[in-house]
Amino acid sequence: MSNAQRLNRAAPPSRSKPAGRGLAGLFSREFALIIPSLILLGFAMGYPLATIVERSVSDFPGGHGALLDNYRWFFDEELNRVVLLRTFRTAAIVTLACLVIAYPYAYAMTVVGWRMRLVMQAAVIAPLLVGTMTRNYSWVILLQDKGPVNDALGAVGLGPFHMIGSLSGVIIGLVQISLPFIILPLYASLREIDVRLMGAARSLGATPTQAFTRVYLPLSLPGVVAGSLVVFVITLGSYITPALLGSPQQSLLPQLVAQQINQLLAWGRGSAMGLILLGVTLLLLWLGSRASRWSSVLSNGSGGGR
Amino acid sequence: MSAGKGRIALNAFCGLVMVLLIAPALVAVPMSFNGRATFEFPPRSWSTRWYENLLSDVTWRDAIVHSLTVAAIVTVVATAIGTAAAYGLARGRFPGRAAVMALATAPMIIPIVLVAIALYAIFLEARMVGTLQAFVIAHSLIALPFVIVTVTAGLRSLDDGLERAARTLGAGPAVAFFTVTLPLLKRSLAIAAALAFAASLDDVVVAMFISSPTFQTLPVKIYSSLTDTVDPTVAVASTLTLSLAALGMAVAFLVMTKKGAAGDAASR
Amino acid sequence: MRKSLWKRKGGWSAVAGVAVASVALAACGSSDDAGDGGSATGKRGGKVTIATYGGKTEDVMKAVYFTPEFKARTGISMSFDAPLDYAKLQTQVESGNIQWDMTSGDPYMAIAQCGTVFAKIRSDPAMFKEKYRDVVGDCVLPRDAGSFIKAYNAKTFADDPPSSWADFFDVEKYPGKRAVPSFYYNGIIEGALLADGVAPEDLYPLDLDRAFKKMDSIRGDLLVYNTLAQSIQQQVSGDVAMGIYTDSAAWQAADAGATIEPIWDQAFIYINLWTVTEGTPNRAAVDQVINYVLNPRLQTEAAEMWPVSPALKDAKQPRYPNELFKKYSLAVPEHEEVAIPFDQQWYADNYEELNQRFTAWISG
Repeated sequence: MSNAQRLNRAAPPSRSKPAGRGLAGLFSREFALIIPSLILLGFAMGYPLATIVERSVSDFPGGHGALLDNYRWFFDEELNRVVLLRTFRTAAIVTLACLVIAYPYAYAMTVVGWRMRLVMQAAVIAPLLVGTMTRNYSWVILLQDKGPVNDALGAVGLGPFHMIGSLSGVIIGLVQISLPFIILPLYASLREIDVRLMGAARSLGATPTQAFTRVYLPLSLPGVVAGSLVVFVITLGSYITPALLGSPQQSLLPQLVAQQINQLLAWGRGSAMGLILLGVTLLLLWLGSRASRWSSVLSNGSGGGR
Repeated sequence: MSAGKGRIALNAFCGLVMVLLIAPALVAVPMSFNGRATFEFPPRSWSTRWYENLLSDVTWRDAIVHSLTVAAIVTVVATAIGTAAAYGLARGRFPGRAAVMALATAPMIIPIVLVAIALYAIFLEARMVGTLQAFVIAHSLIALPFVIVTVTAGLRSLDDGLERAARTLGAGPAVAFFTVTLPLLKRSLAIAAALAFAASLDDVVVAMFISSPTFQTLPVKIYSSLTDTVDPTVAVASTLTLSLAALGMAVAFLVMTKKGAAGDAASR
Repeated sequence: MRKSLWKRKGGWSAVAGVAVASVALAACGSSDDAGDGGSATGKRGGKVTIATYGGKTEDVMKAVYFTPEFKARTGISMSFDAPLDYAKLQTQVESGNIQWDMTSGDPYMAIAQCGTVFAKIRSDPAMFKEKYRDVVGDCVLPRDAGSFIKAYNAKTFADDPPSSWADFFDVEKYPGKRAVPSFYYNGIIEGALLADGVAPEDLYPLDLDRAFKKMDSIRGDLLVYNTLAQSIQQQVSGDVAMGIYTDSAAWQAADAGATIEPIWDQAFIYINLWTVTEGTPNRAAVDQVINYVLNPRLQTEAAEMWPVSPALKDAKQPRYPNELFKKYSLAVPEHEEVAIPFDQQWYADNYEELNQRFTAWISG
């Protein structure tokens, strides 16, 4: 049993079942809360999903084919496999980079005074309100070969680097765009941690590092998981940023899907590609939530009820 | 390493992160006064002709207005129904919760172009293409997962003992939720709302499908402009969005400074 | 615990404040009809929507073709949508709710989807320049033409400038990055065959194996661009030795200060079209539009705003606004003479395979 699990049981924000859960009445009342979302999802996601599944097994280039031909095609083409792997690799890199940047920042937000906290919060919210397209435009300018970033690097004797149309450009853009999506949930979770526990650990003889890794870090994991999940998943689905900042050598699966459909009208193949991405992602998330009970944001309902 | 040094390192790091977060948004401001249609930064000559261009072209102004309208409505709708769903999923007991959760996060995972096409077919059939309603429905769908994931995380770190205590003291479930849980969730809700706003404001792919000549959103204008020409009008539109965002934040900042002072005084 | 609630409240009102502000600012927003294409179409007048890739194409259309004079003569009100997307167009046709009566499409798609997505248009090939006639088909009505040219860095190769496809593929003699668009329809495949010794008249059907083998020789020197903006930026920054660009992109880059020179020899001509959507309820109005726009004078005017070449045989030479514009305009007879049109029928028959191979080659 890991430290995380041991500590989880002792820590204050412990999860416990609401007592006196009435049978039928309570069931329906809480279920009612998800009905609006279910209607929206059923209408705007369920139907599209159904047509995507249908098309993936019924629409073939040239008119006809066997049921799973589009899926077979996907795995037969080396390019598709390469891009699928690249998609997950890029998402992992971006998530990791975001986490490394976001964690100290979110931590700092919990320890500074309220004035500074407001400023730090504003710095996170502002990019969200400005929108991704605006920031993509800016990155196109900043990262160009003779742009300000290369000028600055040149001034300290580095570069010039070719960033637009390379992996570094895409990653820089995606990280910057995703940062607010991880800082915010992370901060929400960090600020709930009772820092007195750290003091308690120290007074019981733990080094600062031990106090951090054994007390603070495990308690922060729900926020880490929620934020990383969001970043990982939005990177997997990103389409515009790699298109604007990258070259085909960095294109991710959503770009290939769009190409199949918008340029080639190959609906079946595009749909199959999308479903494969969805399937592999859900599988990874499920494995993640198995690997650590902390990671059970996705299956929170079943995890919490245990 | 002493605590002081650690603190300095942390401050420096946070300063850099703040630059990383904010600086790209500010690039648009000097670019909007560019004298030529180039990406040179900083511009070598200056003019206000792109502002004139934007003012004389109503499609840019309309696009900004449409984007903000949709984003504002979506923020309210998605936060409301997403929070309800997150609560229902966290506290409720019914079969298929994991499936609902997977369905709710699917809009984030599946390449949105596929969803966009299917939605487009529905809206075409319903004669809703290019309407505010279509945008609100589609963008609420895109925003919903952000709200559900954020609020779920918030609920998880919440001590539901307080809610139970309220129930024990005779409060109905609704009363307990609105007087105890909801106030405790305010931070998560605020974050969820900001993410929902951003999700709507950022959408290009769905918007490209469901827009019409009379109803376009800003990201679509910017995207086609970025792929087709080098048009500094993009920078003007970005500068205006930035100014509006800054205005909104300044208002919020003033409100919070008052409350923050009071809150800080009380909590120390 | 209770005290910290104040701070949380602060966060909430911040967002609420912004949301309210944007609602207030947006209050003047207009909502309009679904653009379902006007049901009442008389003999004259009506409403026609055309979808283009946006940007300059749309600007030129508004400035040259769909002017107040057009409105006065035909009574038709035009509306414009962008960007054109084939998936969107096909969905409209399949559902029977046509939003886009006309499009400014690509020939290969108009040929491949003729009668399904695109409607037939009556036209007389003899009206058009001989070079463009092969393209004219049941659904394909040329408007004007542009080309993919090669351009090289004039600073790097001032003494012995490159002049052919063979030079483009010769990275020993002309070292440096080769800028190439990420989409297959750009002439590099044809260029590889020409560089490999195939005669221009024997190009089609393309020998893909041979072409990709030749293209592999410069794979390490590729600089692939996704968007026009990227290509212009690369040219201006000067890090590219040679590249394949549309003539209009090269012109914009040169105008923005790029030190480049065009190579017109064996440039590849693509044709911009008027296409009509199959099943449009406004066919009568669309036919009026077509009658109006097939006008040599208007095509020449368009070619004076944007470096394209008029498609109609009777169109006069444009008066070029300046020398730089002329340098990048396909309409100049010496340019058009040495340029080669894509075989659009071959593209229509083979674009799926071609896309797969090209995408794999360029993104592997």
